[in-house]
Amino acid sequence: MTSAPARGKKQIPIEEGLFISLPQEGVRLCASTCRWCGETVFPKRDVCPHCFAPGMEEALLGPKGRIYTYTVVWQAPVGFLGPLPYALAVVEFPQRVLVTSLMAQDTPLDSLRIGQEVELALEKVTENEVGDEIVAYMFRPTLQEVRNL
Amino acid sequence: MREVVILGVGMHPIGKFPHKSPGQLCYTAVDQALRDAGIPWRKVELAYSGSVRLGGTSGQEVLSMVGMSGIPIMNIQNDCATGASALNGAYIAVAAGLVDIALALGYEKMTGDGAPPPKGMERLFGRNVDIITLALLGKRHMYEFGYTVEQMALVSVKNHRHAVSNPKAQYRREVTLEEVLNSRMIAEPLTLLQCCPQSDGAAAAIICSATKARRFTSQPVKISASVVVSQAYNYLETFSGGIDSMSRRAAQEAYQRAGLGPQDLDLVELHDATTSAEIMHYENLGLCPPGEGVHLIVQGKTFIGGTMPVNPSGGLLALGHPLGATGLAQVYEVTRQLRGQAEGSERQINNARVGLAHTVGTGGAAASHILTR
Ligand SMILES: [Zn+2]
Repeated sequence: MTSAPARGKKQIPIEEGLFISLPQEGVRLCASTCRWCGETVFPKRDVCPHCFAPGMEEALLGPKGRIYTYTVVWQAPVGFLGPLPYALAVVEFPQRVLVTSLMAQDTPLDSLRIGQEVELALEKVTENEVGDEIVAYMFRPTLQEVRNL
Repeated sequence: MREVVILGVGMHPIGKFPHKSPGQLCYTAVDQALRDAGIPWRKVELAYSGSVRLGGTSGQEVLSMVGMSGIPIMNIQNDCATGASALNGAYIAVAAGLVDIALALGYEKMTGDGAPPPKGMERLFGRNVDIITLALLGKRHMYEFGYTVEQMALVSVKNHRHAVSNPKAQYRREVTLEEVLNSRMIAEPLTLLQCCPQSDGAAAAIICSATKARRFTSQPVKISASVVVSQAYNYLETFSGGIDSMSRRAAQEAYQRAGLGPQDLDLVELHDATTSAEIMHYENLGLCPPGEGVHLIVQGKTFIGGTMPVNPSGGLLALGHPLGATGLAQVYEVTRQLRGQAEGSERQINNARVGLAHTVGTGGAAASHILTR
């Protein structure tokens, strides 16, 4: 459940180029900011979808954002690997970017609300044939929010 | 641009038909549309054909069942707006004067669908997550405008009631509000009966220039607007594929082109993939001001017999949702309603003259057609 892998197990990102895991600061999402209009988009792009200008600069999102909307899913969509039910949230980061992902697996499902503060976390999604962990970014309530419950 | 009319419509019933091929479903729809139009297949000069799952040159394959006439056949794949996009393609060809008579066909086989293993982020999210997206949108909409799932779920009660006597519908059974709310949870706040089913089906329309149509019919239904749009960037819709704003723009542009407004509509077939979607589309299509969608259903206005009947066919929720066929299934319903030929008892909307058909596919495309007589 944390960024420290079990002994001898490698962590492999679920998809290249979406996030980085910094030793001190934790997980950040790899986004792009437009040099012309300032729009920030995730995942990275070469051309701005808002003003169509080429030349996006790299930008990092996180660690904290707020829940824009969420749901608890009880029927797995085709190909979904994890346990049911699970919480899925759309989180708004301060750069005006919405990112969708699962809530970390230890999040109480009935604790979520719109506007709640969350932070990025790295979580195991599955394992490959040789037992390496396939990991992805997810969200977990911040300590501040947990205390407020 | 020339005036374009609908000469004939045809439709295979919607449901689960695991033993029928796409070609068999399409044959029924096209044959019925040709008979309805009163023309033989050899008069059709061009076809736009659409399916979300089949793709490739499946249009040629299914239409070979009707006859291999050598006409241009274009294959359309535009998510849930596929059938409507096929009609838009055929409309452009006839309106521009390239051909006089064209076919628009939509079809889907969802039962017995094998899926390849997931890869990349699909391993986290799964595939075909449209219902989940509409749960996320519905949750936000309820939060912004302060209404309950009990109110929203009335949409399912209405659309199931409408479908009861529709011989083309997949589910022809009334459901109570309690049944809807107590059915299995899919993605909060949406229970099973608040989500559209998986369906097989096919629907077709024969369209024609208004001038030439006089030879074949004395009561044509006119296509007053045919509009397809894609998503314009807006960061608040990056997670939802632009379902709302695309629908708004497709409707506004259709009203403009037709010289009509929402107040002129006698009926609407809209993309109720879920109950939450129907309420949001009331607002997106301008049937009410923003934030007041829930009032339309709570006050009963969108039932047949209400002031603004929506989804008299039963909609995606009860008529069914065979992805690529849905847009043309809506056109089938609106056309029959405008002719006073709605199938099944108590489904005819009195003296209907103007109807709107709306489909939207996340990511995506939205389409609006305004039909008039
Ligand atoms: Zn830009």
